Amino acid sequence: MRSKRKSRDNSSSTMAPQKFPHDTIADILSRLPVKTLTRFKSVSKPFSSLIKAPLFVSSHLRRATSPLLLRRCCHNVTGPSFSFSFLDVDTRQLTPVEIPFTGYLIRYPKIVGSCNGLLCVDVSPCYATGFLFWNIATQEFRSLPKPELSNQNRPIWMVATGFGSNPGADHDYKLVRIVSYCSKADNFPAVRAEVFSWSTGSWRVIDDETVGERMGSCVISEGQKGVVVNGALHWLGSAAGKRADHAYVVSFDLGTEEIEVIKTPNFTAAAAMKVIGFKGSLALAVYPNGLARQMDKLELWVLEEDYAFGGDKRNWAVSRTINTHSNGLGYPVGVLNESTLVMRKGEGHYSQLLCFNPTEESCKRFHAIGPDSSCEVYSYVESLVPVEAGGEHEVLEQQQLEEEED
Amino acid sequence: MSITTENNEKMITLMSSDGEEFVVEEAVAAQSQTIKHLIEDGCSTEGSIPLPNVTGRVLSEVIQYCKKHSSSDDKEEKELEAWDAEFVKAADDHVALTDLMMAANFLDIKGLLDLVAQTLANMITGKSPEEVRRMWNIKNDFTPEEAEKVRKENQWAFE
Repeated sequence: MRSKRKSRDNSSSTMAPQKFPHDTIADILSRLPVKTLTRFKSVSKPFSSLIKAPLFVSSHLRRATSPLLLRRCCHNVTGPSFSFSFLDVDTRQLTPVEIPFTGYLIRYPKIVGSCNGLLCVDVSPCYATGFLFWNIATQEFRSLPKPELSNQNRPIWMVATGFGSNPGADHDYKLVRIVSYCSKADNFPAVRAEVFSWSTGSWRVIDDETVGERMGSCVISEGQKGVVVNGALHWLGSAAGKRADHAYVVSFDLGTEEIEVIKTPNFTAAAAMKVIGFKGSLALAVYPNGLARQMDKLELWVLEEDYAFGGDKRNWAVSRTINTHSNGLGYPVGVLNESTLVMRKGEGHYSQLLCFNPTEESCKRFHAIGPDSSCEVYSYVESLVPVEAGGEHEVLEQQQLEEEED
Repeated sequence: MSITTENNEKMITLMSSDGEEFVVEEAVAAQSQTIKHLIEDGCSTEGSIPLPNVTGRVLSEVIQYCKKHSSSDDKEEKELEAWDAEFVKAADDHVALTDLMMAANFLDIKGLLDLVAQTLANMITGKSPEEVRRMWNIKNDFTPEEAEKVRKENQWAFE
């Protein structure tokens, strides 16, 4: 859609500022921070339209290169006292984040996911029934309509959620809610799933039969938030009932909306597991749980395509073993940029946050997180992505700008 | 006309809008996609390549940039970055950078375009809407009421 280049004779006059072509203005503006761009909406109508245009929002997002760590801390177990802050891993600067929706809060907000500057926040007291979309940089937020799957027909047992961008569309984000019901011996499905699409602004329940067939007896434990790897959400699952001894990874493709259940290797009962995205692959961080002190290492198991068996089979393989004891690393709480493990060590006043890069074996420590009972981290990039998909008339704006040029 | 030097480098002649001629190695000039396409289309054999949108002063700067960046394969990236920083610093004022940006845009030289766009972006980051209008010669087409409304909606960005 980029326009023809206008040839114009401005050869002799270099004294007066020239008018830039639209492409050039867009190029320069796409390098500016969100706050500056918000201020520049006051420059002129074409400027304001350009800054809101989806195409510009995307090109601005592509330039965002240095992600921050968004930290959510609860200062006590029940969470009435909590805080959000950004941690710039390079400069070590910690910036508190102001929460514009405190009026919506019955209890502390839970972050479902962070994607392209857009946050999905669960503000309901239980069973994940109330959500907000929030763009921290533009300070915009919106409350989403109520989900469709309720406990009307059957009590809800557990709910898992996830949020990420739809790889099958140019501009779309999806919030996924997977509901497990207390099952009885009738035909009511045990697991159901629904999707809220950012672009349509509504919830849609996914075909029950497919969900049931794919999930089998596998369930995702309460409150888990999906991890996005390669355009799909992933949760840890386990078989319900008698076969509850084995762990699975449940994946939900954000494009095709297909569910898949992937068996994990057999780990010892002393191992805790966390699903992560590592260098573009689905990975499991396996580390000692609170009870097992004899295990002093963290293993990264990566799901690899096994070409020896015709490419259809996949294998879990240990990609890295990290000695957490000698490195003083603690346990993983998240991943930054799919390459740096964010670890937490110690409890209470002595707890630290660490950024460990397994490739370079480099480690950066951040002291004094405070006596927080919980601390979660998310990758965050600043963006102009609106909390609600609007019907911006891009073509019209382009014309407006071209006219302005002449 | 194409001349060949002792190093067997093919030379071409570029002519600015004010009639100045520059003889440069084809490899240097071809960093400009626009010139590269003109050469491929056979425009260079008929004499010098006319560049009606670029003055001699700006063109000499552009050639300086292209020379540095065509001979820098084995150079340290850091050194090149430092050179780039000096280069835009020399063009210091906003009008000179604007000319350079327009030339880089017309000649389609990606590296130079990136460099100058980033410099211009850094220059306006802290500016007010009024200053941007003045710098870029943009007309304020808001009515006073509209201006007030937009300003109010985005008040936090002014603080």
